[in-house]
Amino acid sequence: MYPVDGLIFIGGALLLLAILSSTLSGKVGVPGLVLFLGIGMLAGEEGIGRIAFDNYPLAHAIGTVALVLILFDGGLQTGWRSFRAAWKPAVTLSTAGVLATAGLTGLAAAWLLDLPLLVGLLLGSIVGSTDAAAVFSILRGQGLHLKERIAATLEIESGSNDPMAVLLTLACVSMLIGDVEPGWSLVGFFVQQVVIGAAGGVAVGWAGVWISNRVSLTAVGLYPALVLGTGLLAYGLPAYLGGSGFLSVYLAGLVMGNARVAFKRGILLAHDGGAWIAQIVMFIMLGLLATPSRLVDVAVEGMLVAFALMFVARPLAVFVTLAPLRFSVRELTFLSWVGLKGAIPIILAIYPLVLGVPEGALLFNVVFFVVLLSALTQGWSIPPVAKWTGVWEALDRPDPPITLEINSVRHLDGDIVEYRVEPDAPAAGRMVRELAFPESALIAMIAREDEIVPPRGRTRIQSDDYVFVVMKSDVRPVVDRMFAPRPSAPSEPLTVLELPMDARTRVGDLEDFYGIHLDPDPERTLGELMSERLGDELEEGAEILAGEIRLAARRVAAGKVEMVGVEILLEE
Amino acid sequence: MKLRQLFTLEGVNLELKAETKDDILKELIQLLDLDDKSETILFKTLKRRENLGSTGIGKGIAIPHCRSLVVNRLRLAYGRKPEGADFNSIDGEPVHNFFLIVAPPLEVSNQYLPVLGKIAQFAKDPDIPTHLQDISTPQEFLDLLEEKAP
Repeated sequence: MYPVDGLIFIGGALLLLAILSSTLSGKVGVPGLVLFLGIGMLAGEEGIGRIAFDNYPLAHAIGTVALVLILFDGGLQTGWRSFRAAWKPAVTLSTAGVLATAGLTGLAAAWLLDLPLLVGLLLGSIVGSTDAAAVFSILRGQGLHLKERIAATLEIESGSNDPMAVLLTLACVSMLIGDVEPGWSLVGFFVQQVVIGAAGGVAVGWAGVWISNRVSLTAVGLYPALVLGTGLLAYGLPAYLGGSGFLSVYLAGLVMGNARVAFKRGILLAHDGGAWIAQIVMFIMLGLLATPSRLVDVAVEGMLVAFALMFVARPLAVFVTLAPLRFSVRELTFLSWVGLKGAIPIILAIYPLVLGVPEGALLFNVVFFVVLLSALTQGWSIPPVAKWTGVWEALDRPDPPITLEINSVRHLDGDIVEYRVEPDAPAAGRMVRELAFPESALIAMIAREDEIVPPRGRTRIQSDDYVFVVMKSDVRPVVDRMFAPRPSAPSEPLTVLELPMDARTRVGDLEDFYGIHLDPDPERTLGELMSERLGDELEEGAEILAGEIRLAARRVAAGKVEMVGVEILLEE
Repeated sequence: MKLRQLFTLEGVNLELKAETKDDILKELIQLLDLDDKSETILFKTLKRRENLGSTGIGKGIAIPHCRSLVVNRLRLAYGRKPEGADFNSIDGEPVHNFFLIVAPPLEVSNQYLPVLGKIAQFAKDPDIPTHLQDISTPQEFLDLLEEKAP
C-alpha cells in the first residue's frame, strides 16, 4: 500500500461523512460549516482520528485554492437581477460596512486583549467579512424565505465582502511586517490592489466568455474545465501583478456567470460542485488544524471579541452605513444579526502565521473561537430573529419533482423554462389549446405531483402543476405572464383606459393610430423615448407625459422597458 | 354626442361565431358592411394595431380600434361571445364583449379619442358586464347604452 492510498481512503470517508452531515444542518439550525469543522476536529490530533496536522504553509495553500473556487462560484451564481435589486446596500456593506466592522472590532480587541493597535486591527480585519451564504442554507432548511431586497442584499454582500476583508488583512499584515508604511504607501497599496484586481477580473472574465464561445471543443466536459482555467487565471494573473486576486476572481465569475456562455448549465453545476468540495475540504482541514485544548485557553478572550463583534461592531456598522438607504429598523436589526462568520476568517487567520507575525498563534485561536461562536449562536438564532423582525415570507413551494435542462454546446436562442402554475394564474384551469401561446413557444411537459402528464391540446393545466416550456428568448415575457399570478384582483373595476403596448412600437405608428403628436422623431421607439426622458429613474410604474398621452413603464427588464401602458388623456 | 347615436342595430352581433382572434376581428368588421377590399384593408390595419399590444383591456372587454381610409365617418360595432375567446388580454382572461371603433384618418369633429374613452368608461362600470350578458336583442343593447352610457 502506498501512503497516498490511505490518504484517499481517509479523504473519501471524511468527504462522505461531511456531505451526509450537511442534511442535518437545516434541521438543527447549525451551519454546515460547523458540522464540517466538527468532523475535522474529531478526526484531528485530540479527537478519535488522531491525525496530527499542523502544516500551516500547506493549509494556507489549500485554503487559498479553496477560497478561489468558492469566490469564483459565488460570482458565477450571482445574477444581475439580484445585483440590480440590491447593489447599493450590498456594496455599501461590503466596503464601508466591512471597514467599519473591522475597525470597531479591532479597537475593541486591542483594548480587551491588551494588544498593540495594529494587531487588534488585524484581528478585526480577519473577522470583518460575513458569510451570509450560510444564512440561506439555514433559512431554507426551516422553510423560511427572506424578502427580496434583504435576500439580495445578503447574497451580494456575502459574495463581495470577502475581497475587502482579504485586502484589509493583507494591509495590516504588510504594515506589521514592515512591507508597507501607514500613510500614502498604504493608500497606494490599496489602490493598486483594487485597480489591478478589478481590471484583471473583468478583462479575464470577458476573455473567457469570448474564448468559450469561439473555440469548438471536442468533449463537453472540457467546457467547465475551460471556465475553471479562466477562474484560476483570473486569480493568478492580477495576484502576480500585485493586485487583489480574490476581488478579480469574484468579478471574473460575475462576468462569466451573466454572459451567454456555451454549455452554461453544465458549467454552473460543475462549479457549484467544485465550490462545495472546496468548502468541505477547507473546513475539515481547518478542523484538523485546530487544537481544541488551545481553543479553551482563549475562550474568555474569544468570547469578549465575539460579543464586541456581534453586539457592537456589526450593528453599528450596519446602522450607520445603511442609514441613507431607507431600511426599516427591523430590517437593519436583522442585517446586523446575520453577520455570520464563515470560512474566510479562518483562512485569513493563517496569513499572520505564515508571514511570521509574532501574535499569529493567539490570533488564529481567537479567530477560530469567534467563528465557532458566531456560527453556533447566530446560526441557531437566525430563524427566530427572522420571524421576530418580520423580514421573511412563508414559502410553501415544494421543489419540482423533476428538472429538465438544455445542455447546449453552441449558444441557442432558446430556453426551457420551468413554471409553477400559480392558483390564480391566467393559465390555471385552462386547456393547453385555449392558451394563446406565441408561435415560438411550446409546452414540452407537465409535472403534476409525482406524475408526468404529456401535454395535449385537451390537457387541462391545474394550479401547482410544473409546466416546462420550450421557447425562443424573445417571447419569454408573454409566457411568464400566463403562469404568474394575476396582477390585480379580478373584481376591481378598471381605473383608467390604459392600453398595453410593446415598447418597440415606433412613435410614428402610435401617432398614426391615434392622430396625436408625441415626439419630433417618429422613428424612435416608445421604449427609447422613455429611457431618454427618465434616465436613472426608469423603473416599473415610472410615467412620462408626451403630447396628449401618458406613457407608463409597465414591465422593465435589464434596464429596458418591455411593455408600456399607453393612457390617452381626454379633455373633460 | 352620446354613444347610443353611434351604434346601429345592424352593427350589433350578440352571437359571434368565430373562435380565434383573427376570425373575431373579421366577424366584427363584417358588422360595418363594407366592400370586400375595404374589409381586407381594415383587417390588416386592426391586426397591425393588435400586434403592438392587445386592445383586450381586461375584465372580459376588448376595444379593437384604428384609423382607416375605408370609412368616411366614425363607425362602431359591438360583438358578444358568451363563452368568451382568447384575445391576449392584459389580464389573460377570455374576452366576452368586443367594441370595434374605426375612424377616418381626418375627422372634422375629432371624436375618435373621446369615443374610445367613453366606451372604456362605459365598459369599466362593474355592472355593465352582467347587463351585457343578459340582453337578448340588439335593441336591448342600444337601450342599455341609452340608459347607462355617457
